[in-house]
Amino acid sequence: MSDLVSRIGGRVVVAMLAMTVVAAVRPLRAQALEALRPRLDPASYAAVAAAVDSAESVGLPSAALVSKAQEGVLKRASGPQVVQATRALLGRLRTASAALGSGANPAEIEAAASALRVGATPAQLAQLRGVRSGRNVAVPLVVLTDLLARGVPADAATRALSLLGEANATDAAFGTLRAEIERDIHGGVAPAAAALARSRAAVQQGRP
Amino acid sequence: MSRLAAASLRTIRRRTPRVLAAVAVTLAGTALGAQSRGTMHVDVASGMLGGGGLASDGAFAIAPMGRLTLGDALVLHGDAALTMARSDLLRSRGTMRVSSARPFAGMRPVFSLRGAQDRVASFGPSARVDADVALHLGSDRLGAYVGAGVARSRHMTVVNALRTTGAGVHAAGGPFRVRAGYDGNAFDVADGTARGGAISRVQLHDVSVEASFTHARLSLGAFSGQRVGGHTPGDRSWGGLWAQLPLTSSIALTARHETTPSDPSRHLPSQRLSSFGVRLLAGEGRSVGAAPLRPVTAFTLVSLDTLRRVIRLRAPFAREVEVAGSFTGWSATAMVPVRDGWWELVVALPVGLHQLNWRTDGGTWRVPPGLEAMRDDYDGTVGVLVIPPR
Repeated sequence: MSDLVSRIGGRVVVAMLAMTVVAAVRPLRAQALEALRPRLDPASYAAVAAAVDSAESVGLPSAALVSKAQEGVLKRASGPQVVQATRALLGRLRTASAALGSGANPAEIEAAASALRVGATPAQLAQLRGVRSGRNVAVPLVVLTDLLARGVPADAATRALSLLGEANATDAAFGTLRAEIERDIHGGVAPAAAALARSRAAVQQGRP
Repeated sequence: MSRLAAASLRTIRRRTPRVLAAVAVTLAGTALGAQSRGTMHVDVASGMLGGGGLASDGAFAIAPMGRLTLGDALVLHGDAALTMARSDLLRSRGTMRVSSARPFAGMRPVFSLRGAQDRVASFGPSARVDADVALHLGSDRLGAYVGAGVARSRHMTVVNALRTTGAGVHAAGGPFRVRAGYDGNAFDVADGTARGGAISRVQLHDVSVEASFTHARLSLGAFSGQRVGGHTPGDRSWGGLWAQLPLTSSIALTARHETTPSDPSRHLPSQRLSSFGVRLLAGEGRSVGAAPLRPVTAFTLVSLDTLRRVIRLRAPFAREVEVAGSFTGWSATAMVPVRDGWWELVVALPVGLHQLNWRTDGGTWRVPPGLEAMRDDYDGTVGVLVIPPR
């Protein structure tokens, strides 16, 4: 009985902590959004704010949208450009969320949206989610984005990461794989060959 | 001052353009590199400046430049400029400078050799060659220099070598930079009107200040100077304003309006110049050939703990380096110069994927060297930085 009370108490504390974090982050996000108001024309600001509201209403990470608008302001993009970029990211977040399925956390959705930006397909995101069912896929998705940016074809990158995922690799193992592939590519190995060879070697060595 | 010189000076004053406007275009700028024996690298930068006139004097200018960096030890810099104006002024300038890229005991020696020639059709050539050595102390944030040298003027009334001295201080904080300097010139002039060629000593003392400010991408500067001592053609004070606005990573608009100091050693009066230009710039430290090359610029990341990381960027020729990314809320954050051209910034970077750009001297945002790039939704690129889990 005392054990049950203890466990329930622990969950309440975790829930309260989570609510506190959410309560603290939201005003920060609101402040960041408000800071954009004087730096965008009224129509563009309204459009960005609407995109942020839309994301929050369906549980998508809105901080990424504010960050995208901030980036546009820094780079002196026009208001319509900022709106276009923010809406495009909102679309990628929606696609990523749908591909990962319910229960995906903000870090996973943001990482998946980045992977989409560099050429991954929703099916490939779903494949990675599938092989790590029930486990966080944020790190594999980050590694996927990095590999795609390094010129590894999306098919080969997904296959390489899926091999590791199927072997129940840890996040650290994905990080090691990324470093090895990076080294091989710098050494002149073709990106696709490097990704597949390194992932097979990691699985064969039982490194995960 | 002899009657002959005074008459010549009046001629130059009439003939010298009062307002000169030019469009200057840097036509090419490339940076090449080659590496040998692991630690030695050679970087070569070259460029060409040219343009066409806009104003009543119809000026045309062309100015090649070059820079050679030998490892971390020596920087050889050369530039030249040739300006032709419709009002029969032909001006050529050249500078060769050898400096140490690495400070020794906190000091950096610089040797420079400068030459200038101005030709006015009705007056003939007027040339001067300067050689001087300066010691620079301190850092880019706060420093000083002292120097001395000699110069030779081809003007007939100057009978011996000019002795030049110089000293100055500079400081930088945030977007502001200030500099104050002193330049001294001493030389003997033969008075052609006196029997037996009487000689008189001319000593000139110039003090000057310059301030600049960079906000967002726009850089603005103002400078002013005052001369003390000796007879001097033209005004005893000078000054001007300049502005530079980068449009893209390789194109910047420049504008400048100034009154230049006169040069009594060549009997050249001060001039009022205005220019409007477009500069095309190339990237730094580009690799060529099959050999791995050590770039001029570099990027490293050092983890202090699980969250705090030191971003280090190498930009030896930059006066200001800024970084912006998702972790700074995409606000431009100034990096701190450390040594050997490296700049640092401590930031909070959790495990995951981060996007960032950097820029030097208020230029265009670029992908840090060595990082993979992805399109940024704003017709540009952004660097991808992955912090892997331990």
